[in-house]
Amino acid sequence: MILSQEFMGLFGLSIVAVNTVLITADLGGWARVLSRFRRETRSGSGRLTRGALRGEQGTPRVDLVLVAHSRGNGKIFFHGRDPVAQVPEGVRIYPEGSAAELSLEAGAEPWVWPDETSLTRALACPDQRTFDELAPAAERAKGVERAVSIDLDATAPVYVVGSASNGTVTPATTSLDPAGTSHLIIAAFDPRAWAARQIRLITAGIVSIWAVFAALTALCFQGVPFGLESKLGALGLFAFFLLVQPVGVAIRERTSLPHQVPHNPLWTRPRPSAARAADVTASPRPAP
Amino acid sequence: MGHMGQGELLMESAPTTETWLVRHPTEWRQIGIVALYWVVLSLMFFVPECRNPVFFVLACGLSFLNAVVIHNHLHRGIFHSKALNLWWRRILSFGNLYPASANIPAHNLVHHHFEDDGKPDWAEPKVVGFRWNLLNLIHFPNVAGPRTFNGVSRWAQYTKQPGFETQYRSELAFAFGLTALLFFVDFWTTLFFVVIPQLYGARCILRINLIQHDAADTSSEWNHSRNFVGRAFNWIMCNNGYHTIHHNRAGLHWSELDEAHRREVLPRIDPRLDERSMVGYLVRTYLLSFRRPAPVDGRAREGGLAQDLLPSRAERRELASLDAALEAGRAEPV
Repeated sequence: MILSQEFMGLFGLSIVAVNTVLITADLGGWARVLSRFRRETRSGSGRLTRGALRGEQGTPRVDLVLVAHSRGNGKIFFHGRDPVAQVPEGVRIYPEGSAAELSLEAGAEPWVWPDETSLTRALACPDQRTFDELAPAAERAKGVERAVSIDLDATAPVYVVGSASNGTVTPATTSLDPAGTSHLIIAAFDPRAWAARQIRLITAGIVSIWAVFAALTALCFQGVPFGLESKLGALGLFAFFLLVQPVGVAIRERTSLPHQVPHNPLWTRPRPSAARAADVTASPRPAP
Repeated sequence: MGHMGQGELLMESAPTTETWLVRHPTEWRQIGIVALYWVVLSLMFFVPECRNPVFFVLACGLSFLNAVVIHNHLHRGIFHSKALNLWWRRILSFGNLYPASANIPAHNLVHHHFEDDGKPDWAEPKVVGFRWNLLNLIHFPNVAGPRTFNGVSRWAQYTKQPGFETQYRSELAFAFGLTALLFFVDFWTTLFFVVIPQLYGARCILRINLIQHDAADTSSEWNHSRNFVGRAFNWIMCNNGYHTIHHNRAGLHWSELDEAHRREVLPRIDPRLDERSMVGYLVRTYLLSFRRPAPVDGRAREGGLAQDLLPSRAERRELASLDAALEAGRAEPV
């Protein structure tokens, strides 16, 4: 039995289609999780508190360890390890429009989400001197670690997701952790608005992916069977098959929870004249 | 048995007798697999009668084995000649349409050490999370593949291994150049009977990461991997079923893994991670079950067992870097 071109064409098309279904289903599943989180924290749920932070021992922060590598060409590559959230004892939140004072009980695994500006500033190369101090060690096979701390701004309002009762906000379960572990979330931005932006991005991504797939599939069936148009369509679908995978991963990483977004900044050695305006390219992360 | 030094480990699989052309007599099996793969692809390309289900399925199977040979060759080059080893990488790259040298950072330097050094394993099982486990198996390469190539591209920019990028690009050019040439000669035959098998193997070797590590305990010394120990399976797979011992003693030649598995792994491993048949495991786990397998607590299993058999993971990481440089011919044996 010879495998005909028609059969193999449908077989190939079905492979690309199934793959596209899986990639978009994965993204769609994440969008549904974010949507559930929005419902869980909607106004009146008692889960989301906006207010001002106060604490004698400082404000919540994120400690991030970056490992630097370089081959001595004026660039230092970093990869970030999992950030660790720190919530000092005695931190309190004063909800807006209320005279109440709530103490925060961080629990075992709090999530602290700083704003993008603070994060970008912390990951950037501060000056040429810092670059030159770090570069030799970064050239070693193991690289070198650089610790970074990002404190939440005590002068700006913060958003806390948790269960508020008896003057205390405690960790709560949300759809964001599929394992069902409770977390206290302290964010420098509105997590509901953040989730809405991620849902819009995912939706746009899914629609675009299917639009490209549909257009290329239609092209395959234009003109003479297996003629020039079909070849162009098939070649396009082959390229689509290879490219839709990184696109799916990029969208998924871009919409990850803020503490799970990979931090891989790249430092380029600042020129002496521009030492203060250090050049930095941080990996994509969601806008807070 | 106490800790081994670097020199001992690097020499542990040195061939005892000089062989013609190849470094170990069993390498002819790997060369035969790749040669057969090229013959089957050529027959399908040139002889229309060979474009049938038997040849097609055989080509897909051999493509997967081509990826297995990439894995073995990038751990321990097949030939005495370094130039021949580098050319062999190009030939293997065509077989799966990706640069074989990507295995150095992706597999040897990252995957072998899981998340020990804080870097994520680009092909860790948790990157997929469908509730229906079969979908995880199908989808896994869609996530692990891009993560791997992003990581490799980044690593290539800071690695101090001179010549890596040149070799990587030459493999890319050879693999895609030859495929493009075939497209030019016969578009549809190339797409259906060359490219599909090429990508099948490339995607299956990524899936192996899920099969071998899902629900295993990557923080443990002996229970981080699932093993498939059938004799016939391992003959065809060049002993790639013995995954625990391969992780722990990456310098050991693949032909010695079965004996080392029985000697070192069997007494220490949870029986759930020592599977007789991969086919049986796949059917049981992905077709007859909806959910992912229950996690194995490797550390609890190993609690009372001697831990001094292996060098530390940090030492093994350093050895892997040295091994990678040795294979590229840019370092001297310790």
